[in-house]
Amino acid sequence: MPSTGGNQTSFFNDGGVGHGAFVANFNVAGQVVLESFNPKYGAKTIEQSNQIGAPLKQASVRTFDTATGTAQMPVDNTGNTPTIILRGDYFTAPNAYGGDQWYVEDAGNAYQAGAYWKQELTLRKIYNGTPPTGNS
Amino acid sequence: MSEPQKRFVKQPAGVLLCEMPGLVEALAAAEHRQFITRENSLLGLTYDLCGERVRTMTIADYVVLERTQSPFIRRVEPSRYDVAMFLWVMSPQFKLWSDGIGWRGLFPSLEPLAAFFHGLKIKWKFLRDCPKSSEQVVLKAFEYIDEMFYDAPPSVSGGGESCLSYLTGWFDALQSEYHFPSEAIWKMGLPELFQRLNAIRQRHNPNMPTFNKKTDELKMWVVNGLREKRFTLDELRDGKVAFPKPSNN
Repeated sequence: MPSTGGNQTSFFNDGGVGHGAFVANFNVAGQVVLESFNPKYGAKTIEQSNQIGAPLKQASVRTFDTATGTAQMPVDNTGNTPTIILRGDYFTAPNAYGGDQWYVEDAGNAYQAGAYWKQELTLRKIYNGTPPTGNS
Repeated sequence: MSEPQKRFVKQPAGVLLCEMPGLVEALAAAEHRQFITRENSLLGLTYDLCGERVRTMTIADYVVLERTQSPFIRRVEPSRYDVAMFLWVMSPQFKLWSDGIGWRGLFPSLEPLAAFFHGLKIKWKFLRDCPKSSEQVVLKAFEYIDEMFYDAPPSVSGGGESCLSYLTGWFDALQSEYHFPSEAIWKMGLPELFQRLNAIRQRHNPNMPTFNKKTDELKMWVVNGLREKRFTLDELRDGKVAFPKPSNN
């Protein structure tokens, strides 16, 4: 059966991404360095085996794409007031990552070491261009 | 039927740091500096502060400085007495006296005399025309402190109150994982302690963000420059921005 999936995003990164970090333009938080971005391109596979379990056929379909990332948050001149990234904020990934839009499903705790602040993010790809229901 | 949601504005695509000419090289230089800083800190080296040798700070040293409310730990301006005290406590000689090594073990009552002569030397070298004469050594001392605390563990926002002494936390983490005797931990350098604590935390919580202050400093510089409109993403991509060199501390 031919693939009926929509546009495919990269399942392979040839290493040209280098450090992998990029400057993301968040809608609310503004410009932030995402120093790691790990997309997981979801897929579900239907398998059919024979009577003793040997493989006969299979078909794979896409499911929702998710990602995790670490944001280094901008800090004001005092070094104590970071721009916290909130749930629902969104950005567009660089073309090397498919150029898709992603929103923040879960924003983890903010960690501070000296003047630097970081936050773990769980992200989901935006499919139909409707906005998240606001930041929280 | 619910009201259709408003379509939102697509944000400009992000720009990879490796697409900014010069930044990869600047990050590599910062990483190298970071590598050297971390390697040095585990070698138990002595450090040169304007001709005065100081040891890698141990947990025991930290407690002494903390108990004496050293401005070098509290990051406030030190007095003449504080400079002399800091350089004595961190000197290799102080350790020989406090451990009673060699002949010093036979005459412990001479230690105040040794401290007095050390203080005279420091006064002659750095404290004759304060603050001008002591400025360089004070700056060097703060750089040294920054290096000792380079990998100090991060704190988490919204973290709860602890009922433990910071020392209990350090000893508990190290003895749970490595079963070191207490004496070995007292003599452990702070940089080694912090790196071990970070290793323990990464092992137990691999998702927690890691901090690399020299490369973080550079990334922060890029973002702050963009937010303060000192340059644009296009200028970064076109190689029109000169990146700062990593600091020495």
